[in-house]
Amino acid sequence: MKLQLTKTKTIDLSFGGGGGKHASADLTGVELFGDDSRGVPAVRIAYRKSAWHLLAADFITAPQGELPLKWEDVSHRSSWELPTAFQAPHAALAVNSRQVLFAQATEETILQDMARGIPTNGPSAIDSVKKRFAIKREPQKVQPEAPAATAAPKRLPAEGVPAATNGMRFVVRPLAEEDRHLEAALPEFQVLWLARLLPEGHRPTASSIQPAEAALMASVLAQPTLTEYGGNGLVMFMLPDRVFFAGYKAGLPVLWRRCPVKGGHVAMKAAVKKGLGLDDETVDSVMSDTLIDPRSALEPFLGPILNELDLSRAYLSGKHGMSISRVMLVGLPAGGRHVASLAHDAFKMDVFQPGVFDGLQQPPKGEIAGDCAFLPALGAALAASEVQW
Amino acid sequence: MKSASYHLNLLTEAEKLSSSPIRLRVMMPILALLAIAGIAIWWGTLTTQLMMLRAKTTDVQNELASKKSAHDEIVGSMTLANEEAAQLQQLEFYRGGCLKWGETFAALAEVLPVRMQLVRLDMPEPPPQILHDPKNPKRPPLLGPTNDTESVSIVMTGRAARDTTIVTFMESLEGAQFTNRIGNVAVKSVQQEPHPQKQSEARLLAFELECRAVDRRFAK
Repeated sequence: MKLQLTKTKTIDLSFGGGGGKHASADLTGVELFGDDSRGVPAVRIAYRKSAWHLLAADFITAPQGELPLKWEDVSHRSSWELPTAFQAPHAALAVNSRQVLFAQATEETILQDMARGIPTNGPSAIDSVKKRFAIKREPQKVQPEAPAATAAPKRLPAEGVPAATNGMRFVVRPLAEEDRHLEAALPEFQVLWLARLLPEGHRPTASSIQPAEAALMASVLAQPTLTEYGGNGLVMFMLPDRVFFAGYKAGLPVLWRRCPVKGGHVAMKAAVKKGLGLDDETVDSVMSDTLIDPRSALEPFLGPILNELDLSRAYLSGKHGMSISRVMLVGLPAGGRHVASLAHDAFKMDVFQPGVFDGLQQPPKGEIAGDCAFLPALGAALAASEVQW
Repeated sequence: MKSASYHLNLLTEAEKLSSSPIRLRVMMPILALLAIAGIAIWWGTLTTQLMMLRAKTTDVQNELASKKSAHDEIVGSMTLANEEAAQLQQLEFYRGGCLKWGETFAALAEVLPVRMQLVRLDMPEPPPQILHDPKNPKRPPLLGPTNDTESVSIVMTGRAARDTTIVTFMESLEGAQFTNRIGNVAVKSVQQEPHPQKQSEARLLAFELECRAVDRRFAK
């Protein structure tokens, strides 16, 4: 709320409970519009006595309605209430959207993205990331139906401060590398719709809206291995349909890139299924059991991905002088030991798979089982807490 | 770890909603309006009281103006009454200060020796009293007396054949019938004068006696 004192002087008033400038240390992370059939992953964490406590993690009922894809669809006013266990003061929403943008980019690239505006007719975040990190850059397609972009901004918005340009809401954070930034963007109408998804006056209300990929990057912040190595580390996020590599230096982000090789753990399972001639039911047991060794079927699929992982490791070593001895593998539901074995054989890399909730104090009434589906929700909550530890 | 470095929040501060059931953005204007209404009522009450006081003041002023002539008349009458009372009091003082000499003079004839003749009896005028205020000469003169007492004396002039006769007369004046009026008797002057008919005969003594009388006391 702005209070105008004189014609030229105004002061900002912010009231508690409305989010304010200081984030909460008790909040719920929710991943919205993911493709998990079990429901919406939600995680509630709290920072108490210099430690993170996991209070609840579950799949909850999805909100009514779909994420609007254009301004005309925003008229529906959603109202979504979370179960009692997740009624923290604030909620951090990790959003999956076809129009979301999350990438590592230079200032020039970010300014181009800001000038481009809303990718209305198909250029999803995946395509945007692909254009930026693929080996072969595709020529940019002309979007005749896209709204006319206004003049390109001349400078980046302030760090962490959202800025609206050409219908898109942008936010930028610098990486621990010169002229490299993390950029996130979502159409303005989607941000407005999400901001009012949780009704006012009921716990929780939205205090943060992040792209699910950004939340994913923050999901390993509480991992003891990362803390053990002084905040330095390399993480391979293996999602159902894509793979990301993230580098951390002294607790700060330094690298975020998508593996140019197509495929995630769904494709990995399909490779095993195809290589060993198995049906769907037996593939899962093969990935988990030790009776059958699926590495012969996995090697053609994982080889290029591990090559990219090694490239990322070499980049961190050469550019930042980081010696990466252990690589975290996150997001893979089953078959982690096979990946580790192949990585060790091919590149002498120590790949290990930490628990999703490692580093968090479990509730005393019973331990909550970790599931890879909670990673974006957990990361959203950890990032939105803005707690330094 | 610095989780803020990973927080790419697309939500602006203005878009954040309060989870508290008490919404300050609603309550603040209501409280402000209530405060303004309270102040308005308070000011209204004060204004009403002020107007009532002003009306009352006007009424009192009008009433005072209407009664001023009567008041002045009363004050004038009271002043006049005070002055007259003061005059009466002064008269009472004068009455109290009145000395009756009839019996004293009647007794004089009884004690007067045979060979003595009183030719004159004077009572000198007392010194004039200062009735004008020297500090404020424009002030009307006082009605007097300004002193509580006034000294009175009698000068007796006569002739006697002998000086012993004068002494005898003076001793007679100290008698009981004169103590209430005559205090101290002193010889003012004595001189011989020839006998008007027999110049060869013994000469007469012309004398003047000054008798100090009791003071006049101006009191009730």
